[in-house]
Amino acid sequence: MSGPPISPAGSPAISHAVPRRLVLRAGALAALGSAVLTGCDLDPRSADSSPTADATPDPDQHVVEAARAELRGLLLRLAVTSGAGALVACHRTQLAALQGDPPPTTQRARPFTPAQTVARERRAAQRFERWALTCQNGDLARVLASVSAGIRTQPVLRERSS
Amino acid sequence: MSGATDALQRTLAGEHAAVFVLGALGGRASALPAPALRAALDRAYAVHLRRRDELRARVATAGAQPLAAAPAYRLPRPLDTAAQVEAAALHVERACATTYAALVAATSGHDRAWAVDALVATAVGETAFGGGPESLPGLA
Repeated sequence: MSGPPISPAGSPAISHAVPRRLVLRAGALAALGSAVLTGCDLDPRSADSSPTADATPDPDQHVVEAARAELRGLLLRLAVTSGAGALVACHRTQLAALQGDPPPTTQRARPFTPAQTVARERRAAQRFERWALTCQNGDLARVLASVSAGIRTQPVLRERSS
Repeated sequence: MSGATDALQRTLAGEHAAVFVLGALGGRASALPAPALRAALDRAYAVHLRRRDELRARVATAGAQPLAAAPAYRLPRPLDTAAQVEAAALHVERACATTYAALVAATSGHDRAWAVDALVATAVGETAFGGGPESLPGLA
């Protein structure tokens, strides 16, 4: 049983804190596992044995794909943008939480201007928030909301909003 | 009780604790030469009071009896310096962010929107207590 983050006096300290790896696995796998299975099921036996179960589309698959594409697009441009190392590290972590692969380093891209960086990061934060509100899977929503919050904590957005 | 209502109650329990601890930290900070920290604690206390009241209303709307606060909560120790008080406040905010993230997962609609707003605002507000940028606030 979980409890408040700060325990009442006299009771053992209880925290919602869960090891990051476990949370990400639980959140991403619960949300993404079915998307992977329904989208990439190459085992013909499964199609023969239970066609109705495998044919069920994952209602959040388009959200997962859009979220990964958003982060990949940012990474592609930020990787060649001067002074964006912290943002690149942040988005790589976030993409990993969504079980996405980073874009290939061989792909050519133009760097962002400082204004473009702010605009694209702000847009991404808004998109992730919207996806968190509209997706059906709760664990996926948690990851998406956390990505949105994580983007908003980055100095590039905090400096502009203060 | 539904999963969503249970999650609302857990978040309310967290808010009760946050209000208690932040109030105590504010009292402690008032004896320290740290006006910026006192102001930040005042703002955080007001935010969590408002959230506690909003959560009470949400639990009641869900048809449940809102959880009452515990008589007291264990305070972090020691709290002799501004740095210690600030660290304790940051711990409270991060614990609340984790609770809000859990609420996001357990709810939908207006309750999820409330939880997302609270998660984002808390993650951004952690800077008032020395928190730095995080890739995935509320998940650590």
